[in-house]
Amino acid sequence: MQERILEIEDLHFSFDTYAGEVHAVRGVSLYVNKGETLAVVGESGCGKSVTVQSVMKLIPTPPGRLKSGKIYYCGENITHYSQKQMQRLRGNEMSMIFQDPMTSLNPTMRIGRQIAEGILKHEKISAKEAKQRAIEMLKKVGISNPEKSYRRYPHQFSGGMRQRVMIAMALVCNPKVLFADEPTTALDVTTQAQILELINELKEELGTSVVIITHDLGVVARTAERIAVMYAGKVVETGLARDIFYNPKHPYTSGLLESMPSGGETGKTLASIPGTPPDLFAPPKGCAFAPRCRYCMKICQEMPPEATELENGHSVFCWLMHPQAPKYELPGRKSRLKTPDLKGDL
Amino acid sequence: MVKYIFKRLIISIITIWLLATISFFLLRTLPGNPFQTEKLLSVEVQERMMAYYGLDRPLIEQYFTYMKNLLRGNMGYSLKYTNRTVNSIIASTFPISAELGLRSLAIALPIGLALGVASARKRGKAVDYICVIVAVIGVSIPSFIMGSFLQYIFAIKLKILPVSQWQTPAHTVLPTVALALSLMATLTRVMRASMLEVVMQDYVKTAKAKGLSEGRIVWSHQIRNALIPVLTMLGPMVTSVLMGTFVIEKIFAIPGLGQHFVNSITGLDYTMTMGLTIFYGTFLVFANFLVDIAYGIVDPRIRITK
Repeated sequence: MQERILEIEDLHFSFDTYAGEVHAVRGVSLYVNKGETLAVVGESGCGKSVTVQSVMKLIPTPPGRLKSGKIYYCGENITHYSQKQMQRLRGNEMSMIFQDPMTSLNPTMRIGRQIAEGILKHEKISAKEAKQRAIEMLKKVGISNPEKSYRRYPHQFSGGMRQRVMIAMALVCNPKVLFADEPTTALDVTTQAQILELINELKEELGTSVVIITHDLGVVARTAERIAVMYAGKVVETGLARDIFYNPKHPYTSGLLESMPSGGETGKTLASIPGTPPDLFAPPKGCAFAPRCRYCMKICQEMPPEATELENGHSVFCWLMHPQAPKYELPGRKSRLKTPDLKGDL
Repeated sequence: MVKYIFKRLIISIITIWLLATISFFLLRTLPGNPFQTEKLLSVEVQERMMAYYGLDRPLIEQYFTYMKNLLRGNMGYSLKYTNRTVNSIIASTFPISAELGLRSLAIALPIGLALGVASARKRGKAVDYICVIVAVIGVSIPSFIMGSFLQYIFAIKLKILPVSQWQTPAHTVLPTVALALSLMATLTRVMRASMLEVVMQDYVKTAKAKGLSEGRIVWSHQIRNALIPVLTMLGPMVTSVLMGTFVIEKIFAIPGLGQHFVNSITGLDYTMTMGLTIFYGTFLVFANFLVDIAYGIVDPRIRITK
């Protein structure tokens, strides 16, 4: 078995608000192997970001609250690490890049210093060496004229360039895991491709594991080896990228894949999943997807489905996998396989 | 930079000229004349006084005379204080007001900003509530009540400080504190609001994700960004404080500049009012210029390009 860098077991995370408790994450289990890319996919508000940010303990508590579950980093249980203990891990062992590069950099600090201060925090080196490292990193992420750029401020860069700076900042201490929270959502399409390519390149070069959060299946196809599909605070299906794309077992996964536009098709209405996700103030007792599900059965509304393990670590949380359930052929990417090309053809 | 300063200078001069012109003509639309208030003077005497000060000439001629003198830095004789020029009155009273103002600012700025930061950091905790309550009290209690209250406690009951006047350093304590309290309250409120805004920013999360310690994040990522709105209000605030506050100076019998702002208008002391307006205006323009330069230092996005 491959070395597991990160493992999350049955994580429950809630927010205490004036209106009541929001059950943002309701029992998520995930793992990330060394050097692989895991894509966490799902629509807005399904708990993808919360899951990842709670691993790094970036969510202020209160209002956030880790209710139960375990988080292992390199075999060590970090579930109840204090903020002080986390400071040693953050930036050094695990780091994160965020959705909006326009607001994620401090506008009043030179970008070079923003990169160097991370190095200085984690390594015992002189300010001069830290500067040198920061400049090298800027070069690595493709910032032209790195010596000069070191002294620039964020507003002097474009969105794509700022995201490169963010990547430089996140990877400068050689972390084992990089969390990328929708790193391309705020960028235009050409820049998106460049940033994803950069993340892939650096991942190969540095041997970093990447957890990429996205709602864009195109991004997934370009980067991920494994996929976890989340819905309403739970993982509904997880497995190798090709299994998820070509052989989805959960109706939600299948629906997501169907609603993805394909190149070359014109005049057709885009497929969509009718309905909206459930209210996380009062999550349903059965399967959360049941009200929107085409194949919904009685049991789906009564009890949450258990995991069904298939080959290659493919696991599905759906009653349809039950031996007594009727058999359906769920549509995957099989039918129209023009785009996107899976990883390797980049 | 030199070009920018030059441009600002020209704009400043135009601003001050407009200010002087508008106030000059506005003042003259007020009913009455400077000598009418003294009931004892007969109309005949009043007219002679008007003639003596040249106030019987056509308004436009008076305007040009005034402007010509102003260019030489001469703001004329006060119409109320016999034989004293406006320049000499300002020169003798402004240092007192400025000293009081500077003392108060020296106390209010560091404490106000620190309380604002502390309060925002401990949002919803006891420290925050105490700071907010103190700030609301400081903002909402008028300075004449605060001043009298301080006098009552420290001068009359405890007898440890003089009630009023402006002589020894001990005399400066009560008025300084009274003025500083309200400034501090305002600064605390603004800084707190600004910090709460900054804490929510994405770059603070980035800093946290880098593994920086709390103290380091507050110091190098939050405070500097939170200072920007505070800077905006600092120009007018410093100006108004240095120019003296009518109420505090009145309560503590301080011979500062503040009283003249009120007295010169009620007494229709044209030259004095004009002099004070121009002095205040010039000071404010200058203070705002300094603030704009300070902006550039704090916030590189609006830094003046060389």
